[in-house]
Amino acid sequence: MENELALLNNYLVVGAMLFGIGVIGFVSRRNMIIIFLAAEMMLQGVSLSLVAWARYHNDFGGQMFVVFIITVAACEAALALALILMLFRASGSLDIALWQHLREANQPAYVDEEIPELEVKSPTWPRLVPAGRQPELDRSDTEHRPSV
Amino acid sequence: MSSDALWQLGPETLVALAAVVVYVAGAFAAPRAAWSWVGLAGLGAAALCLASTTPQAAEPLRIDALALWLRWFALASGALLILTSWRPAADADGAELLGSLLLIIAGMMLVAAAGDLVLLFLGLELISIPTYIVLFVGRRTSEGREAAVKYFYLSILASAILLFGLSFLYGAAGTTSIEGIHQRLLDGGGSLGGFAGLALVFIFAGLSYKIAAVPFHFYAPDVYQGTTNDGAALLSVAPKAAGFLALVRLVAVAAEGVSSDAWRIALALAVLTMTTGNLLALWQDNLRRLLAYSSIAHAGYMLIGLAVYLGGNTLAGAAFDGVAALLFYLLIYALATVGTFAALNYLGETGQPVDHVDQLAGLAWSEEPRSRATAWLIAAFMFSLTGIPPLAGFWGKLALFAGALGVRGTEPAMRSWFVGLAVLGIVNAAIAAAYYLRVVGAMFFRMPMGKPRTGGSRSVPFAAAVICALLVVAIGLIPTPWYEAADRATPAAAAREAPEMIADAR
Repeated sequence: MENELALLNNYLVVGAMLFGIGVIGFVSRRNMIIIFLAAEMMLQGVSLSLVAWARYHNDFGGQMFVVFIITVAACEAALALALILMLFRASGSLDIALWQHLREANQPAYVDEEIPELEVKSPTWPRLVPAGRQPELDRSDTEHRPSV
Repeated sequence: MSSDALWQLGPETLVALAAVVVYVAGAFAAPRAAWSWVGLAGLGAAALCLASTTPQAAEPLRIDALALWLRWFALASGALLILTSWRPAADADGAELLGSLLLIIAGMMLVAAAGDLVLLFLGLELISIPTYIVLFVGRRTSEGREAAVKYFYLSILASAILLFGLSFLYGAAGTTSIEGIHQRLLDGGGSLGGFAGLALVFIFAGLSYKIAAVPFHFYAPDVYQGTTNDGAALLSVAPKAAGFLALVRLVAVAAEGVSSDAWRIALALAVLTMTTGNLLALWQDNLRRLLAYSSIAHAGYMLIGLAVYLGGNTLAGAAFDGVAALLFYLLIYALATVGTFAALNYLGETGQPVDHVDQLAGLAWSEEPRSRATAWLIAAFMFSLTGIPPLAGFWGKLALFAGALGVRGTEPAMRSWFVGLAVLGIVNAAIAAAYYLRVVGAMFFRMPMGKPRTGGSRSVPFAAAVICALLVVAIGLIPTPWYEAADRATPAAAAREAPEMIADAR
């Protein structure tokens, strides 16, 4: 019994952590696909704790519930991808912050902190310093070398 | 699921079947009016089926008086919504919209009949998922897309939160049957009973989104503004009715696990929700945005009923039960709101919906008689939403506030909390009058701006508005039978009718 309770505890903690990571991802990300994946992670946390409870109570109801959650999540994923595709075609970007035309009248748009572009300098390659005696070239070798 | 349960789900099956027919056949022919008739026929068949089956216990279902009330409500409001969104001309997306609407009605009925956490969740999703389609397909503009994406993301977040709560409710009791969980928690729930408190908080949070209660109301104004008038009518009825039913079912069960503090959450949510909704509505010029804040405020009033129900222990001879007042108010609110949107739909033209209060200016002095009549209809709905005495809204507010005044409470401070709640509710009703009367004032006391609206061809939405107005007036004049119908549906009435069953259970 002690073991069972400890096992339940561990799974519940992991489930709650998945749920919490999902919430954090949901509110902090701007890419629409990533936001949807964060919501899916919340559902996985719920599913894990449901299965853990089902194991603890020795009851199949929780597992059955998880099957239905997965099915509904699949339906939502299909709709989400269609919706994201249409929005991407309309705006050319996956950034959710572009969609804020509907808001209180006379309120300025929310401008998130700009993420600085990565500076791409032309790379400088290391060069070998010439050292030692220059090798002698065989003239016939250079003349008969097949052109590559 | 036994075959008995399948027979009991006959009305839901018929509505879903009508939806499938409309979806499939709609791919080949697009006369929207014809599909609307099919939808109405499906609802009629479901009503016949609902009237002819005798409710009986069947395991995953729980068909009590409350479930029956909400199933009838779903059918009636569904018929009104179909009439509201009626289009005369062929419409490329008509069939998809109508099929989704029928599925949403089936979802509401399923939530009502659910006696199991899994079925309840599926019913709520059957409301949410077609709503995404209605929002996206209904208005293919940049605003419509934005409304759809905002509703979609916040809705899946709310679903996940609700599910987390349900998982703890399941964990506390070890069964997914709501009645079984109730029994288990009444027995003390063992060492895991404390999880019910956690479940209570998450369930309140998840369902607050459905009913648009503060602090989960942020989507409502944007989504209402971005969608069509039909979409807004749908959003203000279907998720709210289902959300409140799920709250009544689940919260009372989960509350058995935690001493008796659930009423505090409901009370705080009620105060926050109605005050925020009413204050922010004062600033709005967009009609749908204004009605969105009004729908938030009305969710707050209905939460008063929930708080009264959870507080329990009313004064001897208190006339109004919390849940009965909630259901009665839900009916009145739905009639007035759907009627308003139907009237706005009548005034609008394809591609040019009525959006702003200014567009209604001088409507009462329009040349066309039906537009003049529409002004009177909208005025009746606004007065009912405000709660002016001869109309239905007054009786709804009376039942809710009198219910709050009738709570005696189990602890000394509780009665004063509920008296304060009723007083705040009355103050809020006074604030709300300002913005409802502004709409009426624009129609009656301002000069028309530009060309007056004539929506001649849309006679069916006009008929829907007339039906709603007649019902609002009828309930206002003879409120007793309607309140008694709601009163018979409450859990308290069920307990009165079968006291020995409850005694056995305890």
